[in-house]
Amino acid sequence: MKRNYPLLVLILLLVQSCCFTNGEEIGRIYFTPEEKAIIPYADNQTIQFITDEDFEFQLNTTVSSTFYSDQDFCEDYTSYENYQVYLNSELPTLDVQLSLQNRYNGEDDDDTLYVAITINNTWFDYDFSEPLETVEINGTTYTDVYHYYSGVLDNPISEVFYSYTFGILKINYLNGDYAQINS
Amino acid sequence: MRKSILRYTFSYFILLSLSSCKEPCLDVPFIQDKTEELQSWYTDTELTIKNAESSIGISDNVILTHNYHNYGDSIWDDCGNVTQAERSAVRYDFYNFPFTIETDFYKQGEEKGFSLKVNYNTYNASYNFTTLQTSSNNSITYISDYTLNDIVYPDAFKVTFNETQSDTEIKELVLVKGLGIIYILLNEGISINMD
Repeated sequence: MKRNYPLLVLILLLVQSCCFTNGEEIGRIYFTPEEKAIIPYADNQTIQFITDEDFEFQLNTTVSSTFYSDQDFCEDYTSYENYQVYLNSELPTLDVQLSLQNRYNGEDDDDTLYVAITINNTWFDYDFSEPLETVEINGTTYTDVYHYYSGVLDNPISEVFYSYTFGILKINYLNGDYAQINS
Repeated sequence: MRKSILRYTFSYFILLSLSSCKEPCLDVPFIQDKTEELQSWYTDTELTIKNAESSIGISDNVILTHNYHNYGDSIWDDCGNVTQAERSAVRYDFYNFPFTIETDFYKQGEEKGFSLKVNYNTYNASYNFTTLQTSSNNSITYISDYTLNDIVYPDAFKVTFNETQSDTEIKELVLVKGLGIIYILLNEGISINMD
């Protein structure tokens, strides 16, 4: 009797690859209110900013909370919160995206929650090994300020100063122009 | 005799009909003059970046992308003349301002086919070099001796966007022969110099 073993193996493999159940969400991991607070903006806020030539403009906020899963094929999965705040201004054109991220911190040898910043589709980053800075704006001194640098060389926006208490304090342009909070 | 008259009349009628099918010849000298005039307005292809100094304190490096295309012979007449069509467009991409602008000089080949079209976001304006007519909603007008920052530019076009309404939209811009856009004014009164 002639047996077609390769065909049987192929059918077995195909059957195994079928997803008979889609898997269920077995849990949701949220950021705590304390963790979200390091992006100190609420939805539909208007943040006053001013340029170095005293042009006043507003950044409008939008808060977004979505979930992504770690589902591996058909298995049950856990969903994780993706928390983002968008700040937009038409003139000057600023599309800022702030999001909570966990990143390995070599200084503490542990994962650290931090705020990832993207402006006009360019990613900004800060160095964990650098000390936090002090910035003075319009006579007010802000301490514990994170100094972000553009991830792209020669990007028109070069630096961002960010505080967990006050949010974006100042945006420096490569040509020396700047925009800062108008408090 | 009567048959012969009818035959001649019929032949004459056919001849008349055939001759009426012939289109007038292209006005080649006129087309050559207009071609030179149009080409003199083309933005210098060496200009690929312009510094935009604005009155709000935020400057910008504007990227100019040139797009020249010669379409080859496009219109033939019955007199043995032929003319070519071509287009010279420049797109202006801003980083700090919410604009995309394109200037488009277009020679279609015939006498009336010389035009300038300026596209700004969803708005556009046009100008015909032969009839000197402009579009009605948004307009383009020729200016001689346009002065900006104490420099006199002998030939310029002012493009007025009457359809724009919001403060941050462009009210008017000025385009100079060979240099492209040198000045932008927003409805809010904010000015941007690109000279």
